[in-house]
Amino acid sequence: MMTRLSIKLLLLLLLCSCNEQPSADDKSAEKSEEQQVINLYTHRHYDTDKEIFAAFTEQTGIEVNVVKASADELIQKMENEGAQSPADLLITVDAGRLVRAKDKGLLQPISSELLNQTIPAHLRDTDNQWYGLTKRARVIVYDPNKIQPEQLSTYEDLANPKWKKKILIRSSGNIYNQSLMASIIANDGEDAAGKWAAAVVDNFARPPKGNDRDQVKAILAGEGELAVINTYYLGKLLNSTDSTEIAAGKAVSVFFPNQENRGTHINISGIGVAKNAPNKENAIKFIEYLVSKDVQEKFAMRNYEYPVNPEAKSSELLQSWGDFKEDQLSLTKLGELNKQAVITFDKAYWP
Amino acid sequence: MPIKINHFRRDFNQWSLLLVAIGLFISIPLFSIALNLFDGAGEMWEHIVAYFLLDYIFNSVVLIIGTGLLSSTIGVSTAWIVSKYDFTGRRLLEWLLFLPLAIPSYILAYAYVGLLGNGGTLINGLNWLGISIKKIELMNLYGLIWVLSLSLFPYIYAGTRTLFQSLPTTIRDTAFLLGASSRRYFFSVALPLALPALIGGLFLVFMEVLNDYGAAKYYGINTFTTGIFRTWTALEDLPSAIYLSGLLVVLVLGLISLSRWLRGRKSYTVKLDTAPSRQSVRVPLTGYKRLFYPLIVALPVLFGFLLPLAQLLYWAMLTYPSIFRLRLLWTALQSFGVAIAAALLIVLTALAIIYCARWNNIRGLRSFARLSTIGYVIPGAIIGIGVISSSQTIIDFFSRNFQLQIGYLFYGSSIVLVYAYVFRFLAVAYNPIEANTLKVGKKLSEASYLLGMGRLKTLVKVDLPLLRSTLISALLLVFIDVLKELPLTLILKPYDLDTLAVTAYAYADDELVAESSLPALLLILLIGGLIIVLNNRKLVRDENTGNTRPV
Amino acid sequence: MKILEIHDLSKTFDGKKYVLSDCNFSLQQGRICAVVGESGSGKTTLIRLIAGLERPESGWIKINQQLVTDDQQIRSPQKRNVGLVFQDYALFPHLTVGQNIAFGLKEGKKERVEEQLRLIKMEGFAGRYPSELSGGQQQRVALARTLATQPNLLLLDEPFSNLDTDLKSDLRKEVQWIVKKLGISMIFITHDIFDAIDIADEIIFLKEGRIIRHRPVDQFFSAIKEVDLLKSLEELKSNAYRILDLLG
Repeated sequence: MMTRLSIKLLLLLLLCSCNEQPSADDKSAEKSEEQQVINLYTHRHYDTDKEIFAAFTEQTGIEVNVVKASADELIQKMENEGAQSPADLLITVDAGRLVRAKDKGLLQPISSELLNQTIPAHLRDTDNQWYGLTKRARVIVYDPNKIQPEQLSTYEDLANPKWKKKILIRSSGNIYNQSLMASIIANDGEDAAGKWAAAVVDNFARPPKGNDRDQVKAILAGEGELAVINTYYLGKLLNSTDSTEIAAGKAVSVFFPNQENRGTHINISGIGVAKNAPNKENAIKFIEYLVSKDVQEKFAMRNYEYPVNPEAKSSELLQSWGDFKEDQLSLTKLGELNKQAVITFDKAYWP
Repeated sequence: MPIKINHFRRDFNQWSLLLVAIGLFISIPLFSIALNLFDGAGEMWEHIVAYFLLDYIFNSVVLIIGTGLLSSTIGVSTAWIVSKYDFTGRRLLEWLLFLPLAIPSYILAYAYVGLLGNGGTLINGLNWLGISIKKIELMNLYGLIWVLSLSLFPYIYAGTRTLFQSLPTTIRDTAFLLGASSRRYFFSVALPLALPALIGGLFLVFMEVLNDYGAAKYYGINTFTTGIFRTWTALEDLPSAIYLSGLLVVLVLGLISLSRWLRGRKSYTVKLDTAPSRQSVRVPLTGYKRLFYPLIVALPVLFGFLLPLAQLLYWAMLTYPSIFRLRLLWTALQSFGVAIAAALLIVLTALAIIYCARWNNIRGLRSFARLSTIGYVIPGAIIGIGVISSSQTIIDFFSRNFQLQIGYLFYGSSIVLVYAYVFRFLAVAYNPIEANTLKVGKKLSEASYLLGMGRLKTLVKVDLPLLRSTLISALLLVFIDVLKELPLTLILKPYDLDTLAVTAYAYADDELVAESSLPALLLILLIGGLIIVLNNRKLVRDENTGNTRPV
Repeated sequence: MKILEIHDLSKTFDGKKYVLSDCNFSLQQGRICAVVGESGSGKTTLIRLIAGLERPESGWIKINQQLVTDDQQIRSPQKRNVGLVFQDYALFPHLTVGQNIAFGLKEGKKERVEEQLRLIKMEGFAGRYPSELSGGQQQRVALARTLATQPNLLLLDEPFSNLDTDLKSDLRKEVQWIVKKLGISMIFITHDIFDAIDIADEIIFLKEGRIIRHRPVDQFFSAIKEVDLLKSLEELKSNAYRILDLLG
């Protein structure tokens, strides 16, 4: 009895799941006539984003279809889909991937006076193919009981033997480490970057593992004295629901490196319009919406990122760490050097 | 030569055609991947060989050996104890031992760091008890072996348990009458007889180990699979990534021939005694074993399921106000729907291939059946690329020749995704079903043919009922695999589809490990619930028939 | 000398229905005893009790004058010096013939194995696997394996039931010859009265868990005239006809 019932149920479910997709397609196909849509490929998967997209739909009547996956997979997907790709927009969480998408001819230039005015030049593509949405700074956090801020200076200084067995940083597979390395190659040259990486490897407190949050927890546990992490992970740590995570976040202080010269390395989360975007106009509208002051404050603030719109304020927590000078190096350059950065890491045996 | 042609014409039937058609259709991504291989390695190949290849091979081999040893030890010892001894809580533990399968290994990896890492829950607990300990370092190769073994040992437990339970009592009694101790009976009779089942389980474990991405990446271990992703994404060299997976496939084929060689000439089959009256009667435990044996069985459940589950529950408690949405239940329903559809299709395809191969009279064509199961050894991401590029070829073909825009059909629906699941997981259903059709044998169906029944009617009326429990367990295994699947789903899923695995991964990937616990828990609930339902039914059946004693 | 003594032996599996009740019999050293009965009459349970594989509800068993089973104690099968060959032979499929025979041996394995193979006329089969043997050969290997451990008492469960007729009578005689040659005692179960008449010295009839007759085989011919016994045998028609033939 039970089996028959369950088989029937399964069949029913099967039918539902088969029926449902085509009908959904029909609808969205019809909708594109009457109702406006944009198809968004994004690497961001924050709940805040969902709310903002919903607000956009409410305001404009344009529905936002979202595909979430890693940027690499999305780029591969767009490449494979070619001319028939339904994608209108691509959001990544680093500039390198946008540069790669641009190089592969997956994006198209757009002209929006508003965007060019709002977003500082170094945070957008020179050919207007992509635009930054939010900024993340890669900073040094340290244990104030063991290190005085005066001892810290630059990323380059991390190669100094005085930090032996004190540095915590994650693996070279991480995109933010790769873009940091790219900025060091851009500024100091390939040879110097290679030597720097080898020296930092010698200073590791332990082999790289875990994520940025784990590096901070390791400081609290006394495994190392300083860590290189992204600001927004620290923000999340401090606002965690887990008391031990908050304790780890509170145990460290933030230091913005390279303030005396080029400035602290930043990366962006950014967006570009797809080459074959079926809904280009809506897509541009969407980007303009995302960089407007109010949305920027919500978009960046809730996620502990820095807004790209200079008029938008960052969150109180971020303000409490103080203003800082940011590296104005063109993000395009970072993207171009990304692969070189990975090779440099490998040659230094940075796991 | 003419005879051969004549024979070909005589023996070729509709099933031969169907077999070739299905075999080819399923292997499409394989051809597209193989074509890529012929293009040669990419420009970064030398760099990979110089800096990583040894590392990948070494780590993967150590992982395979370590996980193989630990998971076999856990799986076999627990299977032995629950099938030979009776003790309080045995029935409960018997199905609890399946549940570690419900936790995806990358979730288990996160949970363990949450338990034993810096400021871990368990560490805090120990500190509170006055035991001063900072953390237990798990994020290394050994930790990864620990985590993978705990999440994968049920594959071995499942197979060997069935075998131990259906070993004829006469074999055991004979060994005892010939003076063997319990220990000697286990090591020189029961264990060797369970070897085929053990090897079958080990194969599944190895495939899962080689395909693991999340856990290895988090623990900072370079394996083939993390290497494939790194080569593809960071070094921007897809051809070399495909080359690496080609090497991985070679490694797997090596493992397969190793296991064949291990079994060697002793290609015996144990006559399993399924006659209820003769199955082993469980004996009660005595002496120190009364404490020791239940402990051996309970520890894997504790470390593989209960402790990590507790950690996930704790996280879920902390985060559910911000994570719980009704949408999550909808996601769970979608996961379930897609997984069940894929699982049914996979089992049906496996059956179709197995029976077409049997009904087809041309030996040479049977390799098409094997060919279509090779997807299991190819990393999910590579399959994803293969599937996309081959479906793109089809879309282009239609739009060029018929001006039909069928792209939406491919990318807007789950068709491509489900197809990719079939390619990836066919072996999971194919192997056990094939093994059991061999066991059932041809005699019964031949008897049915001679009684005038057609092939399909015989299949439905004779073979399928006999295979019922195999089909159900194959369905369950595939269902679990599909539910947990990540890379393929990420690449191929349509807009409106969200699965629990993807949702959990998305949070964890953004360092919101605690937030990922709620979708992970739903996933575990779904899989665990199904395991319990199916196992209870099976166990009840066992209890009803299995314990009647010989008269 | 009595090799086996059984006193008031009873066995139940569910506490209610007795599969054996109040069985009493003894067997002299060197004798062959056949246990005959329909399926479900308790034959297998009886020899499993003798081998120590089951625990009785009441009664005791002495083997070789030593108490091995009673209310206080059960000597384990390993320590009874009893050999048992199962109906399905229970050869270890993963071991060769030689390894199977050597399984119960501690020392002098090679010589013993060769000796046993000679005894069953299967020299040169040591390296084969059970799956490569015929049914009759498997039966002989199972016998050799048990005999290798030099048991006082040999128990055979339906030893000839899986064999075809010609092979059966040959093997029967062979077993009888081996057992008599070694001077050991044997109890075997059969549902074929012809097996019993052919090689046994005495026959036990079991019905519904009770021993209804226990006679030397030469007394069988008179015993068979008793009506109730014939009734129980009627179901085994072909055998009954044979017996009638035999009686002339």
